[in-house]
This record gives sequence, structure tokens and C-alpha cells, in this order.
Amino acid sequence: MIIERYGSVCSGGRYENLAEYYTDKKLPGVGISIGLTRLFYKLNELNLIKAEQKSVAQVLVIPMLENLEKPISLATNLRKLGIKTEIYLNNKKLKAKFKYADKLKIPYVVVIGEDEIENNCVNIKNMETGEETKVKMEAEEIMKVVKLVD
Amino acid sequence: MNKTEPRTLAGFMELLPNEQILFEQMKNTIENTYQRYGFLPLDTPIIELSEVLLAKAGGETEKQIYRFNKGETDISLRFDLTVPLSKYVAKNYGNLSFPFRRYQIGKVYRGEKTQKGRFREFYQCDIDIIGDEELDIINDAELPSIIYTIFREFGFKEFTICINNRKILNGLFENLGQKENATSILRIIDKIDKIGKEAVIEELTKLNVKENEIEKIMNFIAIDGVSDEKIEKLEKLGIENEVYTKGVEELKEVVKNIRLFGVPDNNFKVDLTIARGLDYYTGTVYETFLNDYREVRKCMFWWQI
Repeated sequence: MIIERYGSVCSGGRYENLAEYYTDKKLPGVGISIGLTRLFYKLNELNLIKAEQKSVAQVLVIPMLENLEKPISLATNLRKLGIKTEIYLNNKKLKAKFKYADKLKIPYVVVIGEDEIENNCVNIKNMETGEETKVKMEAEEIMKVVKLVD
Repeated sequence: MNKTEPRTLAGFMELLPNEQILFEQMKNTIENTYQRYGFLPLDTPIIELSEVLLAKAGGETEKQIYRFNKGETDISLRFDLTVPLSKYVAKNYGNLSFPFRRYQIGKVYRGEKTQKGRFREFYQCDIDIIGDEELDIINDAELPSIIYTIFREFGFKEFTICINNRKILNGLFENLGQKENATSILRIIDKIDKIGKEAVIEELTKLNVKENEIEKIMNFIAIDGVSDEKIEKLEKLGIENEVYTKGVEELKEVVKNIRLFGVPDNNFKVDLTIARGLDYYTGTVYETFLNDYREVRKCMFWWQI
């Protein structure tokens, strides 16, 4: 096996006079620079980092209703609590909406349909384990489940 | 309608969302760490007046500059973040508190020859500490601890921050009265693995380096051991030169304080072979390597004095 080689990942040092071309003031300094673009490229090439995360959202809210009032208000409340939340806003079949969550590896899905509104409860589906947790349809309750794993 | 083929210039990085997420996470790690150490944010324009940006430049750097006219104005894209910092500090001197600790993360532009892994547009993430008239050597010890923190947060354990001081080699050659020949001498030394010690001595003799001077050079390049041993050997080398002595003292001080800043001995070392190609470094120099991936060096001392 040939081990790929990679030079310095960051470098720097001490200099006597920073701004001699602009001023008579003597300004000694010390600095370090990380060349992030090249670092990222090399680490990726060497498989030392893996870009596995495909979405920044922690929760996908899937509305299965005409009236979006509840789903939007739930998403807004989750966002206020600092949970990165996306709502699926296009009119597709449930299966397609789940497929979207799956492709982007969004960790949790909350479906809101007529039943959920009626019972004021939602199932939080953990997309990795398939496990479902039933909680009251409130942002704080959902946060407890989402935060448990993160 | 005719369709234009969507494409991106060579040497310009453009990532897919999953890669961009990771890139941003790394960038945030760097920025958060810089802030945690109390560095102030700075954002200077990507475009500057050519006259200002190129006040110092020359040679290779100048050839790589993206430079053009917009109307009557001769402008250039920044090629690093240090020159804009110089301008900024000179311009705002009266409004800044010193030591001025700033970080800047931004894209810079260099029209390098395009090849795999080389970029014409790339991010630099800089931290600098600027003193007014003077800046204590302990500052040189804090920066490696910041780098240590960042690479630990990236998830790496096996990396080494290599530290050297340019005054040491400069002082050595000054002491030998070989300042002019320094480059040629270094070139010969670099061949030691290939041609052997005897041949190196022979070539140095041909260059009219005196026997006792050759001995000093050979003793210098034979210095090995852990950081403290190297410093001790440097002190005992018998080089009576102000610059050399200062260099060794500074190196000793930096090593002592790096430990105080919490960098474990596993993650830093004195390495007398490293230095930056850029000639404006005058004292401490750093380079960081991932242990298993350190490039095999073609030469031992590869910079111009």
C-alpha cells in the first residue's frame, strides 16, 4: 500500500515588522494560518474525514393536511427552541415525503394528519432505528426526545 | 434556446451539500476556537487597490495576482490575509488596542498553475497577534495551543506541531562567516542521506569552508533527541553569536510556555529542519503535520536564508 503523503496542514511564525510598507511604526507580530480549502481537500482524499451528514435539519415535519396552521406553528415553536426544523411543503404522497427524509438522512420525522390534530399527539419517528415515540403535540415534548439522542 | 454548459473554472472548489456541511463545521470549529482565545474578528475587502496590495510584492507572488482595471482604477484580488492586515493596522493604528489580536477567515486568490489539489481560490483562516513596538515571546507559545485545540476538535490525536527558530541557523552561518554561502552549504547538507557524510565534508571543503567550521556544521546537523535534549545540545554547541544565542533562548522559552498552555509533549516538538519559505519570518516558525502522512522530505533545509 502506498501511503499518501501530505505536507504541513498549517504554518506560521514570528515577523519583525508587519507594516513597514505602510507606516514607520514598528509592529512585530506572530501568526498562524490554516489553509482550509486544501486541508479539506486532502483530508477528504485521504478518507480522514467523511461527509456523511446530508442535511442540517434535525426534524422534518410532514403535514398530511389541507390546513397547515398546526404544522407551521409546531415547526415555528421547535425553531424557537433551537431545533433545526424543516417542513415538507410540497404536495406529495406520504411515501415520497419519507423517501426525502431518508435520502437526506434527517434524524427525526413528525407526521401531522387529521388523527394527530384530533388527539393532540404525534409520533416522532427515529429514522435510523425506526423506533416511534408518542408524545403530546408540543415543541417542548418533541425536544425532549430529539435531544435525548443528540 | 441554446444551452450553455454549466461548468466551474479549474482551481475553484465547489462542493455538494454533504461536503459543504462538513466544510462549514470545520470552519466553525476554527472560528469558535479563535474566539475562545479572545481574538477579534476582521473582514477586509476581497478587492484592493493594486498599489496598496502590491506595495511589497514582487517575483512569483506578483505573477499570480488577479489584477485588472475597472474603469480607471487598477485593482487586484487579495492573495493572502496578511497584506490586508498590514494595511488595516497601519490605517487604523490610532483606533486599535495593542497587542492587537485578530482572526480573519476568508477567500484569497492566486492564479497558480492548475493541477490536482491546487486551488486558485481558497480559504485562509488566520490568527495574528500584533504588538506596538514589541511583542513578548510568550505570545509565540500561545498560538500552537490554539492549533492543538482545533485539531483535537477535528478529531485528530496523532499530529505534531513542529517548532523552530530562524535565528538559530541565521546565527550559525553568521558565526561561521558564511552568510553568502549559506544557500550553497544548505544544498550540500541536504544531500547527506544520498551521498554520505564524507562526501558532504569533501564538497564543503571545495567550497572553501574551513575544517573547524565544517565540524560545527556537522555537529549541528547531528543534533537529535527530544525537544529538551535538542535545546541542550544547541546550547552546548559552542557557537558564540548573538543571533544564535537569542534564537536558542527564544526556542527554549517557547517550549517551556507551550507546556504551560497545555499542549502535551506528544503533539509538539523542536524540529530544526522546518521553516517557512516566506522570508519575512524572523524568529519562531511553526509547521503542523499529521503523523502518518508527513511528506518525505526531499531535503533537510530547503529555504533560502
